Amino acid sequence: MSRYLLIETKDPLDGGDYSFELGKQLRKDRHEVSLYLLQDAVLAARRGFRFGESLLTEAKSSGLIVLADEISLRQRGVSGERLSGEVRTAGMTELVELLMEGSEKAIWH
Amino acid sequence: MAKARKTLHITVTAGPYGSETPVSVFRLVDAALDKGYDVDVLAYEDGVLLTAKAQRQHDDPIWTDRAEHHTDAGKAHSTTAEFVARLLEKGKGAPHLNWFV
Repeated sequence: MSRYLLIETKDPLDGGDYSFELGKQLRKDRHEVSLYLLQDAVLAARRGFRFGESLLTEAKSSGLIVLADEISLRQRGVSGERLSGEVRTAGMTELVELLMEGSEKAIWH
Repeated sequence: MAKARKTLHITVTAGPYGSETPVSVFRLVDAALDKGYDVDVLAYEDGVLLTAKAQRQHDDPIWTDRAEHHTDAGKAHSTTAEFVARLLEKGKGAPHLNWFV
């Protein structure tokens, strides 16, 4: 079993669902997976965005840990009631910790 | 015996101003130095332009004359080369930043 860190940067409607799919497959193989949403990928965390909500629901049921970058969210006006309850906000410090201590394999997409 | 400092290795191919990726890399490098990690960045393809000194700030008067649009660096925006220069200044000791092109 390995610990994977997937960093997704793309809009979920523009290929950003890739890391969710990869994460689910890795979970099936019993790997630990953290998914960090960065840049346009945080749009998956908009409350009321049906496709994003389905990605987050499936991620949760698969056991993926999903984090959303605080600054990327703020840049796109996704905060407060606009933010899904299925993600936890995080910053670069936490991403560094995941890269350096919390994973053996990191993939940036 | 002192514990060896870990090094974060980053490769970047994105050039300046074409996407948000360089800014994300700058943020990541900055946070890693703050956490006490050494950092090696290898910039290739368009990424080599991140440190090109030929970059100039946009010359539209609204950006040069309107102080309310300026950042804490005293102007409208910094070039990517200036961002990298600040990171290299921050990482010139320990923890250390190497920026390869």
